[in-house]
Amino acid sequence: MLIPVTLSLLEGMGTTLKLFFLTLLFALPLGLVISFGSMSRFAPLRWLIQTVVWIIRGSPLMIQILIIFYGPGLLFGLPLLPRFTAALVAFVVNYACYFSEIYRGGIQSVPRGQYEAGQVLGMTKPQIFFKVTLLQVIKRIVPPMGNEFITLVKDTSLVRVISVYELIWMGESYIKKGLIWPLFYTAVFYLILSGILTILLNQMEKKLDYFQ
Amino acid sequence: MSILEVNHIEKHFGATRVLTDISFSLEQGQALSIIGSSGSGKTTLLRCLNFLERPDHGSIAVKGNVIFDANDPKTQLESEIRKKRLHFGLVFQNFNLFPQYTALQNVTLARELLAKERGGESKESIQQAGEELLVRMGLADRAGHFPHQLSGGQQQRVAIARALALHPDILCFDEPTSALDPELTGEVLRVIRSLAEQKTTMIIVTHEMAFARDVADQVIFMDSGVIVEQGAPGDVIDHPKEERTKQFLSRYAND
Amino acid sequence: MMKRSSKLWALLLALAMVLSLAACGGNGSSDGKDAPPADSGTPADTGASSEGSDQEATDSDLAYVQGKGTLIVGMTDFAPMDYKDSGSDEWIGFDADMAKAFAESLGVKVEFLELADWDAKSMELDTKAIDVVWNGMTLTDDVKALMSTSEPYCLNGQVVVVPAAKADQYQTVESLSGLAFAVENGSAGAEQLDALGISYTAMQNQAAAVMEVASGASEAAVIDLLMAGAMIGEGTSYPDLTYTVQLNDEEYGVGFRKGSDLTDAFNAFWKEAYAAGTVMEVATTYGVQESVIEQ
Repeated sequence: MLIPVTLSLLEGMGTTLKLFFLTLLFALPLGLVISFGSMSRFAPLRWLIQTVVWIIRGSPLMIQILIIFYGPGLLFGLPLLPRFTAALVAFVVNYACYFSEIYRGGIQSVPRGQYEAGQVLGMTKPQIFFKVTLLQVIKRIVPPMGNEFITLVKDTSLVRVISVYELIWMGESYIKKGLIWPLFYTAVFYLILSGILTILLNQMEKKLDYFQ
Repeated sequence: MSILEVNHIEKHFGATRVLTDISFSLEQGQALSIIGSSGSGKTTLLRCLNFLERPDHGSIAVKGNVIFDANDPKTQLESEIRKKRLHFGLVFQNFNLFPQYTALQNVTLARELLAKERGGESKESIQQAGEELLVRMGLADRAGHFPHQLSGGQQQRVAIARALALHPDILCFDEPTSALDPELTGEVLRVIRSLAEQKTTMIIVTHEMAFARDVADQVIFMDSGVIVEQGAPGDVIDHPKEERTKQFLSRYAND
Repeated sequence: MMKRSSKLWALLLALAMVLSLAACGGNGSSDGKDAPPADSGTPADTGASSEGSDQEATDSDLAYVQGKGTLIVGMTDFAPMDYKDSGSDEWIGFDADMAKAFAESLGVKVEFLELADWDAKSMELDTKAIDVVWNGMTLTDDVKALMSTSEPYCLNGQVVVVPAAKADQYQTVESLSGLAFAVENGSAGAEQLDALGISYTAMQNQAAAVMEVASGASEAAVIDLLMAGAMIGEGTSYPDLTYTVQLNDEEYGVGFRKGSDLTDAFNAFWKEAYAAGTVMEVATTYGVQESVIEQ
């Protein structure tokens, strides 16, 4: 029984992993763009971005998934996005907002003097960002980002509200067949994934330990 | 012709006026010390020269070319400012070394970036020039160290090498020893003194009166954003004319 | 279900209104035929869904489904109506097999979509995420208000599930008071308990309610008779459970979008299939022949 259950759970794990990695792929750069917007010197843009971030961070991800999937059809009678796509969009937007706040904290914690030192050495803004501040920002954001990654692993289970068949769904489907343990067994899969992430993040922290 | 001419600089932060009608000039190979209590505007003046602040009035000319004129927007183009900055080098009070780079990388980074853009210099020759600079700073054996592995005095000497690497026309020091423990100020002052002996054009904002008198060809005393007195160190520091200068100097009489 | 889902609806609609206002602010509100805010703001679930359906009535839903070539059937894992044999990926069961036959009669492919949240079924219909709800659905007043329902095709009732060892104590409705019940949130079983004034723990689905009893977390559950017949008792995953009191009689139907012409197409299909003997044949395969309503 263990092997067929494991195989079917791995199928759900596939969807979970796909959602996890695609969310990171899109949300990490989008979060950076949003963080620049939230620090913009152009006040209306800054307010707009900060309001959006507040709404997204302040409301449940589950509702956001429901709105993005059902919203177009309910409000405008438009055709819906494919379920997985809708889930991905909700996750990317939600996590990009969380990431943007982490980026913002990281960027703002780099001392002003670092920018100024770059400026007086004749560096361009992109050069200062990529050659001077970026690595310092990364060093500062690795621990809070790591927390978000682990949270994301577990949040992926929310997409089953719009019938995206991820890991927990697969585990739950056994309940109807009278088997309870597969649901609890899914926790092992999450533990393995978050365990691997924890190791990778620790290694990264160590790698960045060479400077202060 | 003076290498630097500063004319009628004025700077406000909001409603506060921090610099009023600042004018002075500096000759090639000379060292200028700016003294004055904290809040007198001397750091702001240095920051104006390095385009970290933008004066509200006045103009700045280097080697006869006007590089900044508050009345002429053409002299304030963002794309031009970068190039103009290279006339000046700035050594910060807090060093502001890049923590993720070694001492040598700190010295060579900006020059390598410039060489990449403009072509010309090879990486090897930049590297070699950087190493030579560190030797001049007495840091030959510290090239591979990261800033946090260096003492404050060593860090500041790396910062001086970093500024020199770009061959600025005028090297500015913003209270270069204020963040250092007293026993470490000597090594930094020695380096600056030797630069003065090699006829490096310098502006030094400092609280070290004895040092200012020894090293400078010219001294400016500032108070409340205005130049109160300027001239040779023998005049300004040893025989001040103005009451405010005397008061200020009397606080350092025991040094 | 009504209580919880109408809350969800109200919340969704409130958020949707904020979004639509924002959208109007961004794009200008020139496009009048897009759902006007007044419609989407209607806080009652029936109101919102019937608004959507009036539009459906103007164009043929049948033509829409035939146009895209697929009939999407919204369902849940619910033996013996819809389920998969272990190791198989194909949905089978009385409802699943008949749905395949219905799709074939329309000349389209069938696609089964397992719904996470049974509460979302009318939203899934209205947004065209699915085309039909076909899953041993009891025809309650709420369901009839939310969608266009077929003629009933199957009889059902709500039964009380208890551990077999205690079955003798709970043979009458009166004996049930004071028991700790688990029941699917918003289900017909929940309505029966509400009517009797018995409180309960609301579960996500009937299977979870049964699991509550099996694990001892609750003392009794109320589920569909058809499901109880297939799911519990000897030879099933729950040999130590049994069912006792039947609380009511009810009928199963199929749900379409409000105003959909698919409802008529279904009714005609079913009569024909019954006359041809197909319905009884399939029903016998899954052991539900006793419950099928004569046409």
